[in-house]
Amino acid sequence: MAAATGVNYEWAARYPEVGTKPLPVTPYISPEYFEAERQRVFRRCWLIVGRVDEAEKPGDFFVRDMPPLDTSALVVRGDDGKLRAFHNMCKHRGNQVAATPRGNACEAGFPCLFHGWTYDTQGRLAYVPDEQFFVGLDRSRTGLMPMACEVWEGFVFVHSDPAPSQPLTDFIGEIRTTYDGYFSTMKRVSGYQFDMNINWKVFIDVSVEGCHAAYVHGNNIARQFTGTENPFLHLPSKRLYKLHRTVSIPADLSREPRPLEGLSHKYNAATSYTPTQAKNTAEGLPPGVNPDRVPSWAFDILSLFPNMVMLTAKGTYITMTFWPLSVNRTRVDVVFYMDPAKTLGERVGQEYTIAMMRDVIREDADTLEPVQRGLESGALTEIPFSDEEIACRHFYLTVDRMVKNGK
Amino acid sequence: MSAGFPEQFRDLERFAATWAIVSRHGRYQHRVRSTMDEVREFYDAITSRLEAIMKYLNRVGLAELPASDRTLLYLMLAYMEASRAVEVIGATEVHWGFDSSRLKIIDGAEL
Ligand code: FES
Ligand SMILES: [Fe+2]
Repeated sequence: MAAATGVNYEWAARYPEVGTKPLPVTPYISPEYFEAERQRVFRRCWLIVGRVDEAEKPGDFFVRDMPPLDTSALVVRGDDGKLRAFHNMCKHRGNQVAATPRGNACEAGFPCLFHGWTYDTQGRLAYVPDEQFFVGLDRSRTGLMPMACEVWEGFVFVHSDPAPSQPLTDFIGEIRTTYDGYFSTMKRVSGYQFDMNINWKVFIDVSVEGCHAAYVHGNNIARQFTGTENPFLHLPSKRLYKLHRTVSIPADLSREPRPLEGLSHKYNAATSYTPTQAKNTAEGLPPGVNPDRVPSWAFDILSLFPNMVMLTAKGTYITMTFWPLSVNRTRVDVVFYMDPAKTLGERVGQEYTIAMMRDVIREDADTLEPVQRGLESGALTEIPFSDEEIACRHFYLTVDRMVKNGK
Repeated sequence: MSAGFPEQFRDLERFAATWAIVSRHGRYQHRVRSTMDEVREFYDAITSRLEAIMKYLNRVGLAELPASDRTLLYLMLAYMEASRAVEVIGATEVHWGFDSSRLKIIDGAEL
């Protein structure tokens, strides 16, 4: 395999700090560890809550639950054009101020439905019924509780600390310029949410290794990627950054395309998920996508720390956000984005990718609740991650470093 | 339904009542509730006319697609589900899949 693609598989040698030792199961099952993650990971990281086009015009807003922070973010574009984030919580007695998941607040502002306190689109307290009875209330100095809010490549990030010591650009780190424009042409086309009885890290682990494909996806899409030369789906590119990581999934181009794949290529309807010749190159992509320019490439996984995984392909990307509800309960938010279809052929090809990836994600998910039960049995104390699973190991150690050292 | 079906594909209209489903999740659910024989019958019928259908539907941009062609378009979108069953999985449902009734679908407008 190494000779075929010219890639070195000695990943631990390339990333010696990640090592090769088996790692304790504790972080997946310990309530104390989970509490430390909430305090030291989720309260100290920038977290993605949506896309800028969800709040495009002045007054547009959306609300996103952030379970590990025990709050909901109200993201609103002010009448001054600036995007801000607040706790969706009234300063009077704590009710939610936005009662709908999205909308526009230009006309009405945010009237709290409990006792009528009303906030404007910049979060300022604009109106208080019976104001004279609130002793010492200074309306001009009272507003919604802010969170920090910044944008990278169209993703809206929120930080629980209104003045975080780490700027977003520093948090994004090494990859901040490498996705230039990649996400901006694509629009949300589909989405679903489901709750699972797993630790949030278990789903991220399965997303950053290829070894499971031949087994979990063996009756489904595995052959699109594995082929005869790479049966265990070794991943030819793995990049481990300070916080984040990417891996590239190769395509098997030697395989005869299935009838529908042939058709979708003919009508220019394919995404790089359904490999045949020609589509599976890095041509036209920014340096962050297929960063090692793997020749027969299908898509990448970007594990954006802490809780987001993006599947970046040509013509489509999928975001999966993992919101921990407890040590063994996780809300999974899946959203598909695609370049708007111009022709029916394109539209049909897109539908194929959406249907395919729904089946694939359900296969991954179905595996993981039994995995969590196994980990919780206590019978297994250590996980022997392989060299191919080095990105799982890196993610594990990144969480662990923050839990232990706070950075 | 017959008012909204192109003349040259009348032979496929018999699938309209069962497979021309507007919602994505509805098309998936129809796939898994059908027998493999039903899926294959639909798949084979569309496959035999595939080139002609695609050529016909591609004659206009997606934005200008006439209302009278929508049923055929939904059939084609359902065909994507059917093709997964026939060409890839060999069954109407993946062998080991997360219970789809646990998914909360948040699809917006599809076309
Ligand atoms: S809690 Fe909002 S007005 Fe009282
Ligand atoms: Fe998988």
